Amino acid sequence: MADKTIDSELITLTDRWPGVARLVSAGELPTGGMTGSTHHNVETAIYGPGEKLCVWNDVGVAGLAGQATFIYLQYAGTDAPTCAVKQICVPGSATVWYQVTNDPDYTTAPIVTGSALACVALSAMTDTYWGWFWCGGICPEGLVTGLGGNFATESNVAAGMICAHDLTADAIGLGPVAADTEASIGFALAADAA
Amino acid sequence: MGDSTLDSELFVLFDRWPGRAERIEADKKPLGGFTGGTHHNVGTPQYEAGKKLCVWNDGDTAGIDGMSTFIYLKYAGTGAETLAAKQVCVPASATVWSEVTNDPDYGSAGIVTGSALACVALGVMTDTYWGWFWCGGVVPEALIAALGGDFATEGNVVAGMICTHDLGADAIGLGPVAGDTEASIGFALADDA
Repeated sequence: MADKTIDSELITLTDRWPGVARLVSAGELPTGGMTGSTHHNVETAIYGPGEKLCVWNDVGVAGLAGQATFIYLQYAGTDAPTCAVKQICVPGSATVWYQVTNDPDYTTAPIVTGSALACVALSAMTDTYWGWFWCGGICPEGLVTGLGGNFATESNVAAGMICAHDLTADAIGLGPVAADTEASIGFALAADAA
Repeated sequence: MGDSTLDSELFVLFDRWPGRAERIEADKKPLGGFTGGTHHNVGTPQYEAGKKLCVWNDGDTAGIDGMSTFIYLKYAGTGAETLAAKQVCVPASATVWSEVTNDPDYGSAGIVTGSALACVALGVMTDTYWGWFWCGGVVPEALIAALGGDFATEGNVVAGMICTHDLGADAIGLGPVAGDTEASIGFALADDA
């Protein structure tokens, strides 16, 4: 079955990552916003692994009103697929909890479909570099250009709980929770689109 | 199948307990740390039932970097087995949510395998006494040295979701989520040993 899509405003994410997020105002965001070059997609971590910030989405720019949570993690990938905004990432290491990948075939990605921990890339990232990922709440498309619009799905999403899925395309996307070993990572307000 | 172990750095815990943790700096910890004698393992609670504190674990000291959450609960047990650091505890009362036990055969322990609420003891405790338990995030080894090393498992953990299990030994440990009535309490990065 061919992959499909669901709009960014029709999903919310459940944050299961360690710790609690710090609630900040838009004026307290990291320099240059969540994708500022001094802290996002950088070789040396500028924040502690797993630092979390929760902020209101700027509806004056785009998206819905509500809170969104970001987490600071290390990216691991092979460039196939290339990391890009809106891609789902899951843990990519068997030894450290804070390394994630967008590659469903990554050597040490323990779980793809049904991973209990998941997040969304904000941009292209370099292998082993650190940066911010969307991990909870509503889609922060008013804060991160490019997060708005269609997210890839496995074509079988129904309104209700969603989880990470290994797509037909070489990518990780969203699908329904179908087994007791699959953890929901969010909630869909509607079925995916044709 | 014999019980096995999983290293403390290879799993994280989900905090499903009531309320939101207060995030604090390391120097704002309770007096004497989380096992300080004035508030941990005491007959009269020094914090509200279920008080939660979230603090950074410094991986340069011990363990792995990340946030850990502690919760203040009442211990209930029979002394068999004796409570110790790294033991998994589950709700032990049919009337109050804030009482936990490490004893899989405790009289009023409602659920052992698959409990949606779970926490980990920081050390020995006295029956009906109050104290801190690890309930979320990464293992706080830098804060509680005795939490480092092997945690007991049922011998069947694979990388992925984990839940509480009644072990072959007289203890509660970690195992895989195997049924739709079993709640995951965490996520393992690797299989048990």
